[in-house]
Amino acid sequence: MTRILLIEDEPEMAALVAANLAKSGLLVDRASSCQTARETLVAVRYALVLLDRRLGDGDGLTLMPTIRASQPGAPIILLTALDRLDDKVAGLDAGADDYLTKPFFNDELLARIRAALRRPGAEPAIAIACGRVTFHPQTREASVAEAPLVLNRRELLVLEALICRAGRVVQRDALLDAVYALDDEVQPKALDAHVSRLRKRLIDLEAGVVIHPVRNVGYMMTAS
Amino acid sequence: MRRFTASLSVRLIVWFIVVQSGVSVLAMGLSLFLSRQPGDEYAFAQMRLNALVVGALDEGPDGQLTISDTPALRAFKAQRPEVGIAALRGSSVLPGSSPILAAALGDLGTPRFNSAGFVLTKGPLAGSTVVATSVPSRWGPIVVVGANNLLRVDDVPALLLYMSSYLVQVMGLVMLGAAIVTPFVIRRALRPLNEASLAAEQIDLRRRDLRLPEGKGVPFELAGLVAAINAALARLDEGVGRQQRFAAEVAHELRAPLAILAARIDSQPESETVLGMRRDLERMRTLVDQLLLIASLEAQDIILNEPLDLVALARDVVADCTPVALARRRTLAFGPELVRLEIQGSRRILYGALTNLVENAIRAEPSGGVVEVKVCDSGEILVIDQGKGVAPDDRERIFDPFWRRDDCHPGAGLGLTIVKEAAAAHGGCVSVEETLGGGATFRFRAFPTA
Repeated sequence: MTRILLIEDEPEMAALVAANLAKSGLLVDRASSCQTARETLVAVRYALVLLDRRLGDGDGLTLMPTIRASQPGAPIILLTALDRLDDKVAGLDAGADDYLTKPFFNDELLARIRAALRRPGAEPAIAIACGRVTFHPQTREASVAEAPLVLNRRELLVLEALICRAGRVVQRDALLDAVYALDDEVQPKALDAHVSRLRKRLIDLEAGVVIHPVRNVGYMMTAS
Repeated sequence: MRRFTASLSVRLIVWFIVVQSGVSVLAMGLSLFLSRQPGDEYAFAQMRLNALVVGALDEGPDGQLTISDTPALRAFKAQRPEVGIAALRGSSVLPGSSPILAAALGDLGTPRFNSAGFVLTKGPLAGSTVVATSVPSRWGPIVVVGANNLLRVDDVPALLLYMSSYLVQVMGLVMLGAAIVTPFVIRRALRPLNEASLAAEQIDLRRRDLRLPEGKGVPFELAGLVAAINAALARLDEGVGRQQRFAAEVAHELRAPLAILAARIDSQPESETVLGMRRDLERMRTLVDQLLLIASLEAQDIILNEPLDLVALARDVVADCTPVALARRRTLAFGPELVRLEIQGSRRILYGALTNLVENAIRAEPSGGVVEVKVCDSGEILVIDQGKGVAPDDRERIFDPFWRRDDCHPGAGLGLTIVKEAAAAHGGCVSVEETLGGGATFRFRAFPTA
């Protein structure tokens, strides 16, 4: 199970966020101050840290060196009510991997957590589901309603890129980057062919997902 | 006329003349009084007589200069029968002179003199004070002689008039000089005031930091005014700043409780109610974002020189708005006529503005329709819907804060205000026109025209 640490001083907020994340199969520990966070960080190994900036006993950013030292490779996502541009820049400059402004919905937070965990060096990610399709990032295997989904390499890469950002548009450039490695010859036209083959497969299998084309922009996968 | 009397130069000149004349008359009177000598009362009375006699001189047809009987002289004689009047040219007594005085002068041997004052000791005029004065005339110097001509109260106006003619000659030059110099001096002295008004014209909510020029060149009479205005501006600036910070702070403080509310909604099992609450929260989140955007646009604490690609930014907006559009059964189409368009600006502000336009268009678009986002060759971004459109009368007003077409429209009516402010902050503008075949087309430009 993926274990993450939530550093948040508002007890109600912390309890609700932890409970919501737990439903998605994450194990969430809570720390309510810089002090308790320091104690917890040296004792336990986490896959990811969620950090509020305004804590009762100081700025959450002061914890960054401790987190980096005690949890090598663990991504840090800032959760904060501060939203001025320079606040964001300060947070990212201090070494945060991502930034989410309050208020946010659980889906948005989960998407950021998944994205952060997929980065190289991060702990193996949790399985991603959309409709009846499930994708396991660590094994790179897909299944439809428990039955393995066999796809060729490029179609699988398209599926991975789209399902990881299900509900949001994946722009063409990002999709091309995901599907064609650096040494591959990029074939923009062929990309559309891969997408349409994948779409046809998913419809045939009644996978409960739709791939929407967005003209001149990219593609988006949603549960139907 | 109003403008004329309101002119500082005219007022200064008028006051200068009035005060200067008054002071001159007083000074003249005072100096005469202080330097008075016995016999002055005759000498002063003689001035009036001189004028009367010179005015009455006339050359007869035979070339003989005579004192003619003018009405003024006649009136004087009737009033002052005791006064003897005579005039001399050279040593000859002119006809028209008082016979007794002429005789007395003859007794003296018709002396040649320019000016004199003496008392006769014999003859019918014995005991009379005689004053003789040389006066210039058309016929050369004439000596006017008066006997028993004592200054009386009714001589004073004539005396003053006589004196004032000298005053006018001297003062006239001074006043002419003042009239020429005064406007020039005033214009020069008030030049700092013109600069101050030019500076004042630049001051508005966007340029609250500007102040009127102080320091060298500002006359100290104006320095107080300029300093007081600057102090007032500083107080207003501080007040507006405090209000802006307050708006930002309030919006900010709303984020924490909204975050708890969002988490609480997420903890509930999915239902119609939960969906409704999610939508409500979404609206509150939008409102908080908008308030903060407005606050930072007003406070100008945005970075406007990030290099960015407007085509990519528009593509991002279309990508990010697509889920909302699809959820509402509308689709978005992106039509860039350019591959890239590099500009300098604030990504956050432009992204917010374009998102606003696209979300508005999605709401306006009928179900199943396509909202088109176009980047034109010119760099303008068009957001085209096929909804009800905007009535021509409303095409300016829709950008006003809190303007809403109708009360059932969601939102606080701040979205288009932000769009307008965002365009303005980048030197651009936004306008709305009718889509061919019905609907609204918003035209957004994020840079100044070349």
